[in-house]
Amino acid sequence: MWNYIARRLLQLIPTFVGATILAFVIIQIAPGDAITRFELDPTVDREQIERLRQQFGLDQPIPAQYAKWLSGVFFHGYLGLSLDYRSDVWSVIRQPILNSMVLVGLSTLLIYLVAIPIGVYSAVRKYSLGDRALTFLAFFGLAIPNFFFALIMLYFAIWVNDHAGMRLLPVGGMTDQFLGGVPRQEAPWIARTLDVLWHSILPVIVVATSGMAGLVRIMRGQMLEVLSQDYVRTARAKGVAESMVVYKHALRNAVIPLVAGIGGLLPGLIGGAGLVEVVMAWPGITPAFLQAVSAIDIYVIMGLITISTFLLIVGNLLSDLLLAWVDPRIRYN
Amino acid sequence: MTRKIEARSQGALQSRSFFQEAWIRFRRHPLARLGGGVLLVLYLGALFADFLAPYPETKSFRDLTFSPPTPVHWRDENGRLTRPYVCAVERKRNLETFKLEFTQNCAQKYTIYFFVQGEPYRFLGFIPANLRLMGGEWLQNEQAHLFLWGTDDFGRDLWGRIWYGARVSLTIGIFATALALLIGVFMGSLSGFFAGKPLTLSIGLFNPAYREFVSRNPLPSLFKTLLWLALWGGLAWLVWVMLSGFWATTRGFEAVVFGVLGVGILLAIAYAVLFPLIKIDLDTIIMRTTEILAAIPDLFLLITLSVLIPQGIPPAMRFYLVVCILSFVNWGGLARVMRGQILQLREMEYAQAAQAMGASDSRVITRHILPGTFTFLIVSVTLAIPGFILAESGLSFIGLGIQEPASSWGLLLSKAQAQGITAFVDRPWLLIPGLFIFIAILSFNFMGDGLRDALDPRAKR
Amino acid sequence: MKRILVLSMLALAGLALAQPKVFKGVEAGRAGGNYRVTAISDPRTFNPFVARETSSTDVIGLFLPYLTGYDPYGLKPEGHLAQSWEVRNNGLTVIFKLRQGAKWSDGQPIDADDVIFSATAHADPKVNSNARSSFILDGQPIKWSKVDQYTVRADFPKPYAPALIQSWYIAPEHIFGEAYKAGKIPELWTLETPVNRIISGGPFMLESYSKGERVVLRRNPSYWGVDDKNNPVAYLERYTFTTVSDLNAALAKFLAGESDLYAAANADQVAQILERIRSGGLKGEIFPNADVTTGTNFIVFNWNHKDSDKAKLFRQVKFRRAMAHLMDKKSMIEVALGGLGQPQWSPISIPVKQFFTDDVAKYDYSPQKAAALLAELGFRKKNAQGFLVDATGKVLEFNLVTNQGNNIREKIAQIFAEDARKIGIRVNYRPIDFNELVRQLTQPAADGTRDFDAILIGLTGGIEPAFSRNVWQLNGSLHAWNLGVGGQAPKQVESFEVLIDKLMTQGATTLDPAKRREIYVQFQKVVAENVPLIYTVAPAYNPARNARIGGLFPKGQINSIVGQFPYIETVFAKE
Repeated sequence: MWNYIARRLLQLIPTFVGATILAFVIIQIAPGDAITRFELDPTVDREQIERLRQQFGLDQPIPAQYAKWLSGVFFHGYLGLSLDYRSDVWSVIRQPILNSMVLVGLSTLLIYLVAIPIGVYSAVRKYSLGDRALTFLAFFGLAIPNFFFALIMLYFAIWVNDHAGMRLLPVGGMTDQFLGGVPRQEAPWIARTLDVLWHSILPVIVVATSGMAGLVRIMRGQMLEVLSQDYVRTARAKGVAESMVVYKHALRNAVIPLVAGIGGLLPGLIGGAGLVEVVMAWPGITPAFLQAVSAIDIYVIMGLITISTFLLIVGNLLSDLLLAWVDPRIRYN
Repeated sequence: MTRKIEARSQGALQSRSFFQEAWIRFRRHPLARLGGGVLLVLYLGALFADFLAPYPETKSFRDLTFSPPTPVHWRDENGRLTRPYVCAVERKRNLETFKLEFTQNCAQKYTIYFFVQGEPYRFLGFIPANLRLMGGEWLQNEQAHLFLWGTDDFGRDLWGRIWYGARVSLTIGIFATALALLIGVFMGSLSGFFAGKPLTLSIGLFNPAYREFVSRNPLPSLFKTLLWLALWGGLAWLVWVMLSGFWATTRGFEAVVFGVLGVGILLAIAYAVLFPLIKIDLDTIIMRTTEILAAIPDLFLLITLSVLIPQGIPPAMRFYLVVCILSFVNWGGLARVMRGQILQLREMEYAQAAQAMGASDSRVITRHILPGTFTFLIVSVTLAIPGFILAESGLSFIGLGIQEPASSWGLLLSKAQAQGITAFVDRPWLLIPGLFIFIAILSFNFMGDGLRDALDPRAKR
Repeated sequence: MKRILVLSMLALAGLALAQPKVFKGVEAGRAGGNYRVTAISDPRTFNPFVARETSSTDVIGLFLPYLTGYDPYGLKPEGHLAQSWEVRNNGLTVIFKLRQGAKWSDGQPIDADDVIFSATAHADPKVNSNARSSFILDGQPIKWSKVDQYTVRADFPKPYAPALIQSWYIAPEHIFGEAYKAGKIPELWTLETPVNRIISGGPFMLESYSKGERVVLRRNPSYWGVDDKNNPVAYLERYTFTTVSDLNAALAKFLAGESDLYAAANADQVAQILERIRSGGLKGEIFPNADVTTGTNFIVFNWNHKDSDKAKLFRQVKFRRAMAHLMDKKSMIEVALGGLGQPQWSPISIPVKQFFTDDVAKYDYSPQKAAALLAELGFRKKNAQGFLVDATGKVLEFNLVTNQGNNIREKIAQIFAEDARKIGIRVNYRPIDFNELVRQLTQPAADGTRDFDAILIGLTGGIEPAFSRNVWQLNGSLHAWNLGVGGQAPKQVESFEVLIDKLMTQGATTLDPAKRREIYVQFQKVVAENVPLIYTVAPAYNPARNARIGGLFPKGQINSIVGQFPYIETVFAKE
């Protein structure tokens, strides 16, 4: 198995180099660089602009810029210099990545907790009213653009707060400045955690509804397939109780691909919750990425892509290992 | 055999093909039927947008920005039913509250006529026409206005722009899916078919195989030689630029390591040009490429690529570029699944038989293997389209997709976002485009679900 | 307990302050409270030598001192860290006396060494500080030298009028000195630096920072300021920036009472705030149309066009006046600015009262006048598509671009393009990427030509016209309509441009305020007469405030340059 893991990790290198070259080339094709926007400031002269370019190495040939960055990553684990923040890329992207992980992690948890029971129910009561209603609801989440849903939820929060006369629901953001009258950084960690959880209610609902439908559908399909298998029929014929058939025999097998899929969620964690973060002012990856793109902060973009490539490979590896673990038919090769 | 005999005894049922069966199953699916019906209406609306809209797409009334929907009256002052009519509306900003106020002046009634001559347009882009669903003289003379769903920040009729926008939003899904499918299927089939059968990339000039290669077919071989020489040369140049740039700015251990590495690569390239026979597995390359694409989160890739769209190009061009970007980001998934299907199918007896009988590679792919993936394709298409519609609306929403004065649902919805709470409290009509996105995607999903159930070959007959 | 602590701290502060600065507030204040504002973007750094954007300098300005600034009541120079100054040698030398007893928050004195060090570092090309232009006058350096521990001297190569309002931040030498010698200034005071290691010489000091969310500053107890009753300032206990990147979310925060000050962008926002106040949901006030903002938006035509016909046309003053007559500024204000704003005619922003004049040539919205002027240039007939053509049949046509994403500019451009098309000018409007636009505008080809036709762009305005010399002087890098190559004056220059160049030089080197006003009034007239830049409209300044904050200007004193309060030191929370 270790051999297998090592081989998979080696595969990481070409994918990583390819992904970063792709990103690098795309960014270079776009007009301008990180310094261009300073040129319209009447108090800054040409010479200063040129010097800035030199300072950031933007005057070197493009392949050389890439090579320098790559060697930094390989030799020093250094992701480069953020041209916008003028500091280490890792320090710029660390916090947004963590923040997004909180949001996506909670949403994923919610999705699994809700989707698996719904999928099982829908499969067992195929074409019943309940099946149709639940499927419809799941589709609802899939169909509504999540940035639009986020907008509606924000308004909903304002409306609720107005009518209640107090802050029942958070209106965007991730934390409060004061917790029970004490500045946040002095508050006990439990209060801080609860505060983040409270702020995450709405964005988690929005992200979870949009991801729900897919999983419900997969779960329902898997369950249906397993229920039509011979061994289930045999079990039924032998007079095993229906609930036993469903939960003991069918569910365990139907859930296998979902378990395996968890590894695949890792890159989703870093991909962030997309535009929901923008609309709900959640300080996650997407706002950071948009900001980096608009500032052409090239190494922040590259840094985010590096981390996500890494997580993707690790995630896939985890999936495969999990799959091999839960499904004895699979061997490493 | 037994089935055949049974079928004969049942008469009519026997003649049903797989697709007829599927159609029957599809029709039994009420949500799928509903979805299909709604989509039909939406697509017809997009096709006849010029006819439905009283005004051209970009016509703006600057002094009527953010007009609420024009009230259509059905009864006159005495409460009797009449032909529907509208009144002239005046817009003023109240200098106390700073709110916009719209007052109707019903001194003159403007009757809405149907199937009238309106501003000329070109149906389907080339047939000159001027028939519009609603209107009247007053509408063309601008004595009164007809905004069924209000106006946007430029005073443009939202009802009309939703239908014009439907053209973009609804077709972008189809075009992007088609393109992604084309790339995905092409790459996937190549990959699946050539898996484990490496192709020759280059032959070293001093390799005995090279002499044989040239002597077999001199002219095209020389051409191919030039091609791979150019490839290696380009690679060497790139490495050289990197190396020299690196040396110019770095000293010490790193420069040494990089230097050794670079020189090593250059030597390796020289060796590759001269001696070995290099074969590549297309499958590996394509699958690595899809892996690379999958490694970058979709939204990131979309945003980065959208920045590349030159801003000054005409809206139609922009539309196609957005299509290209969307499909570029998404073909990888399709290709992977196609590859899996094909790997499975090519081991089937009929495909192997065809190959054994001397059919060409392309013939085996197109005639024997691809049809086997047909049902899978139909389903994945209907389920991919809504994804693209969402992606487009998201892009336009952050200002990177379709741009003014063209219209798309995402772009129209971004106006509601730009208005903040005002959109909910005072201008709810700005949210209508969101409803359309929702309905369209829901319909596609219902239809896709129905299709999948219907086309499932394992479904009970 | 807490009160005793505060009192003893006040006593200590009083002892330490030998020469405090008196901050004259609007009303008597009380100590304590949190002041909350929203910021559109995070700070990028806390390092004054690295900072380039207002999101960073807004924060840095609260914890680092500067020598002089302008006084918010009369907009004349006043001392901050400099207690007084003396101008000698016909304005060529200024000698600053620093406040004795001023201390950094770590207890070290703020003295001439800090000032000289900061001046040296800011001026050093290797450091490449954004404030470097404050140390160079027409290519020659301004020399700073130490006289004694509390006296510094600045020698100017020529007299420079705004010398005393170029505020640059003074950084502690005992922290930055070593790093400067090692060339490692950028590594200090980044966002990663623990905030308690960043010391303050201003009214506040950093308390906490969380990326993407907020920056909190706390009152600096060792600050060298007092109010007019000799109480230490700042009154406020905390100053909080909350990062809210979306403008509507920022409004929502203000409406919910979660931020204290806000400037409404348009009439719709004013309406929302008014409604909220009326319904009792918010205790506060708003002053619609209190002033005009200082930013400018204008259309610039390319006189260095590759196509010599176009260049020739754009150089015609009649053509530019015709374009000015096509500006439907009323519609622009209603549609683009959302109802509140003012037409702009002169290059100096309306709120800059010392220099602004309204008595300049104005071009009313009149397609007829525009058409008549174009007819004089030979565009008399229209072709089959309804576009104006000259005698040779050439269509009057140009592209107009602006930066995509700027809502106001996009709308102004669309309105202009629509109206121009109505009289038969084929204006092709399209938004383009900001960086691409800057490239087209500022980077001529080797032969000096540029390839755009017309660009709608804006520049941030300011109180001092001399700071915009880069735009108006012939060799300026932003001499946008007629740009020279490599820092030289353009090849072909109109006489009015030479006049403007001369006036700008005079304006910067004349010290007498009355004479300066005369010069800049003439400058505005010449510009308005020749319209090298065709100005459009300026958004109104509509400040709003939460009633819990005191020490703010009454309505009559609000202006968009100073803002809603004279000094942050004298703002206080009422509860």
